[in-house]
Amino acid sequence: MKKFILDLTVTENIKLHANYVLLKLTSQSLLPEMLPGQFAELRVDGSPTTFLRRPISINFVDKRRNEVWFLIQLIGDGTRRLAEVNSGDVINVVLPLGNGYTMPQKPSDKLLLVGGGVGTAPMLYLGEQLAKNGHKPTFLLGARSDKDLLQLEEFVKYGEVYTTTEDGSHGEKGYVTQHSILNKVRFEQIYTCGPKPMMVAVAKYAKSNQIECEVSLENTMACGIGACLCCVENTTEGHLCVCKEGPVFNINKLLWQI
Amino acid sequence: MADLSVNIGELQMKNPVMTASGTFGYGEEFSDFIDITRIGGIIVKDDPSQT
Repeated sequence: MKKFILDLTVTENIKLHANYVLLKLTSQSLLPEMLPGQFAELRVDGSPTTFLRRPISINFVDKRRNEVWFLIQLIGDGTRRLAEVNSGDVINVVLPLGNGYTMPQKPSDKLLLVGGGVGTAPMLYLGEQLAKNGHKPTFLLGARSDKDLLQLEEFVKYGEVYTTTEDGSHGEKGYVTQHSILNKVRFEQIYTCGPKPMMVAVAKYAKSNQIECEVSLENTMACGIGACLCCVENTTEGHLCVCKEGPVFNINKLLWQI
Repeated sequence: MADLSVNIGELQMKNPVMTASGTFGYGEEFSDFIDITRIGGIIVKDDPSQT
């Protein structure tokens, strides 16, 4: 897919929690097509300590409003600066980058979307696209506490939502891989994004139950287009750039010890 | 248009504009953003055939 460098205008900056903001950006021209699982590189202006763009998942595409959403966790100087933008400000963005999740061929109600922490971000757009194409996605979202569970009111629009929190403040207490839904439903496909230990545990569950599984890797990356080679992952096909050949990989392609 | 062609040893280039070493992939990665045929040369990170 052709990539674009665009000056996008902030329509809303919604503070979801002390550590998370939701940026909604629009363009005067029609936004390019974006697939669930792809990401963008956002330039951070006004932060002298932030040299490189920040890679951020595409959280949602609102075609009616010509908006793209980015869910941002405030981690360092770059993301904190991004969280300070106001409506009307302009952010320079490169998108769409990488490859998205694989859409199932046949309509299915056995699709599990597992997100952990800010890794829930791409699951919203994926769930919306799956529902739009006749599937019935199930969301399993994990976080440390109820405060870290984001956009639940959006997820319920597109499928059933199950949650886990480490402190038991929302849903079942524990990790996503301990949720009782995994013992009740035989899923055909799992899509996941989140902290690596969580994705490894999800991949292990999928492999042991012969379920197709795709993960979205978050290797530290810089250019986002496969030029700098700093985000490589060792795979069955050799070293691949997560930004260009990923970030979504089938677990059978990875050399994880699962 | 001015002739900016240069020779560096046996290498003939249509202009002396080159990327900094290792910053530009193999050039094709940037083809969505610029016409890479406009620059004189691309200095790649390394030559995989020699490693």
